[in-house]
Amino acid sequence: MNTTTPYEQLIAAKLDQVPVPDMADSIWSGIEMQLDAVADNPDKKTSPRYKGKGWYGFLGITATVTLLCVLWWHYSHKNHAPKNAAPPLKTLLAPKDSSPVRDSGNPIRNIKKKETPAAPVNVEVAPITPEKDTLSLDKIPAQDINLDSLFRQHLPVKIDSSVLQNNKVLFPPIDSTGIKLPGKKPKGVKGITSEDYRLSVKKDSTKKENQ
Amino acid sequence: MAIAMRYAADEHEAADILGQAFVKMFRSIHSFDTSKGNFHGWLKKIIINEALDHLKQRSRFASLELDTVEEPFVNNSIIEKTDAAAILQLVRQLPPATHAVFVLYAIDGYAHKEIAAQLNISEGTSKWHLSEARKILQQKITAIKV
Repeated sequence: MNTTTPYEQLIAAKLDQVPVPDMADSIWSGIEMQLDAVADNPDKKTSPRYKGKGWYGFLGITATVTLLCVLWWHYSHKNHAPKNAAPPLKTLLAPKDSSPVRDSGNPIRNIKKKETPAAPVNVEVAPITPEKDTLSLDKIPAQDINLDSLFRQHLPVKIDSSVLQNNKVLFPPIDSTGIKLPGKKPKGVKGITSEDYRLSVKKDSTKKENQ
Repeated sequence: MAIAMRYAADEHEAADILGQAFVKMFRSIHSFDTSKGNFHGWLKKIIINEALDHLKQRSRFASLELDTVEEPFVNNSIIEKTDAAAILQLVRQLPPATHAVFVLYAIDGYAHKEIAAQLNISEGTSKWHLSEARKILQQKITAIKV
C-alpha cells in the first residue's frame, strides 16, 4: 500500500508546478527524424532472415555439396569412360617397339597377306594412346588407309564411337601377322611323334623265366 | 514533459526521454486499447518506462534489503516556501536508484511491489531506497532552513 507523508504530497504538488523548458520544436524534430528513419528503411525488419551466419552457412554447405557432386561426376565419368570404350586388348595391341608409321604419302603396298579362313571374326580395336602410336591418322584421308583386305572385305569391325575423330576412323597401325585367328589346333601331344606309337614284337619274358 | 523532468537528470535527458517515448507511442498506437484505460494514462506509462530505461543505463540498482521505511519529520512550511525548481534540484541530487524509487512512490503513486517489478529489484530494496530518499531530503530541506 502506498502511504505518502504530507511533505511528499507537497513535493509532488511542487513538482507539478515546475516550468517546462521550451524545447518542443527540437523534441518534435527529433521525433520526426526517428520516424522518417524507420520509414526510409522499412525492409530492414522484413528481410533479416536472409542475412546472417545461418544464411552464409547454408550457402557454404550448398556450394560444397555442389562442388563434391561435380568432382564425383567428373572422376566417375573419367574412370568409367575408358572401360566402356576399351574392350579387352588381347588381339590387337600396337607393338611398343615398332617405330611410328611415317606419313610418306605412298600407300602401303608390301603388306603380306596371310591366308586365313574367311570366317567372321569379332575384332575389337584397342584405344590409341599418344605414346604407343605417334601417327596422326586423322591427317590421312580415311580412304587412303590400305588395310588388310581381310579386314576390309570380310571382317565386321566393331568401332567404338570414342575411336572416331572428325568422322574418321582412327586405326592403329595393324600388323596382320600379329593377328591370331582361330584355326585348326595341332593334334596330339607335343614332343611325341608317330614313331613313339609304333608297336614291335619282343620276346616273351615269361618264357625266359620258365626255361 | 513534466513527467520526464522528474526522472531525468537534466532538461536534455528529459527531452530525449520524451522524444523516444513519443516515437514508441506512434509505433504502437495500433495496440492502444481504450477499454484498458485512457490515452493520457497510457502515454504516461510509456514515458515512465522510457525514463526508467534511461535510468537503468546510467546506474545500477544494488540489492539492499529493508523491511520497514522510516518516516523522518520534515517541516511542511519549508517546502511550501521553497521554489518548485529548487525542490526538483533537491530530488535530482538523490542517487539515481533512490531518485527513481522516490519519484515512483511519492510522486506517481506506485506501490513497492510495482516498483520492484519495474526495476527488477525486491520490495525490500525498494523500501530501502525510499527510506534513504526521505533521510537525504530531510537533511537537505533542513539545510535550506538554516
